[in-house]
Amino acid sequence: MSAPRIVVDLENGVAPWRQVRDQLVRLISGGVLPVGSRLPTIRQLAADLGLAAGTVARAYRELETEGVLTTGRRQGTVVAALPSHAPDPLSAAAAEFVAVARSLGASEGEALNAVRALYGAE
Amino acid sequence: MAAVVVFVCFGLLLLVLLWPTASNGKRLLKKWQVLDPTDAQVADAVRYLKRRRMLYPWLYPAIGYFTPLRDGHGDILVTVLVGTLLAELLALRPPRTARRVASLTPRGLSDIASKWVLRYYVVIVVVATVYVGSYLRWDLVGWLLLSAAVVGVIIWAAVTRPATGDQDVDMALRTRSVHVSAGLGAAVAGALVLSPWGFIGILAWIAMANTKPVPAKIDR
Repeated sequence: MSAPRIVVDLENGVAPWRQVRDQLVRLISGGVLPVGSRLPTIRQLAADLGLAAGTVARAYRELETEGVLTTGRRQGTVVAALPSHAPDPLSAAAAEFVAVARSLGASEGEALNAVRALYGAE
Repeated sequence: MAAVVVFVCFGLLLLVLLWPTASNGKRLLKKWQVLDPTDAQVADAVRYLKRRRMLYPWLYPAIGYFTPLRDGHGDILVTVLVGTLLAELLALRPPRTARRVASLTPRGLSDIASKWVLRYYVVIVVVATVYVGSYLRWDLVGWLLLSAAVVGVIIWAAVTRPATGDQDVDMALRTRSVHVSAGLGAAVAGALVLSPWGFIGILAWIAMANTKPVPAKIDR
């Protein structure tokens, strides 16, 4: 199984820190990142996404405030709890599908067509 | 002038001999635990090798003139070490596309490199520095510490540079950069301190460059 990934699109109109935060919430809610999972450091995630460290720090800080993440000196940042407003399972599955489709470079129309084709096949 | 021409020709010869092919890339990936690489993964590995080896013909003449290692293999070692440094520094450039992807796998030095390779390298540098220091060869102490600083920067960059391409390949190539740079540092220490027994440093380089990463950490 491939490691969970985050996709940030600088041209989709949503602030990058918000994109990071929302995707982390979806991955945690969907069970992709279970409680206890270790997350990359702010510096690593910022470098890989080409963002300022403060941008990723803001996303982490928001989730720490909500009690979803906790940061310790030894263990780094880990998932501490499920988000309180966890989306229903269908929304979580859809969010995961959208993240994968985005990582593959598929447009919204292409992703919807793929889903419709599967529904039509059954 | 004739010496410069000889150095440039030798550098170009190095480039021809070391020019990476798909089979080189495949062999490199298998060595670093990407056991059945796809064509895209092999292309990533070949690109990694090209970025280093394209630098050798230009670095070799320059380094041949400015280092105290003109005899034997020392200038080749420093050329490869500096080539690795420049390639890692260039890889620190942030991604420029609007759409960026990052893995959520934590990546620390202990996640990508063998702790034994790093420990042996530190021991080699400390012993070599104390040895040449005891003979008051401060010039050699300076070169040793400079080479250790270069290895340190390469290791730092190999851990922190942005991820590119396939994740398994990315992790494997980071491991290679750390192990090979530590081995090169050991070989440079050997060439500086142990001449004419510098081949002992080469043996340390070969050993470190062939030390397998920890499978549980890399094969994710």
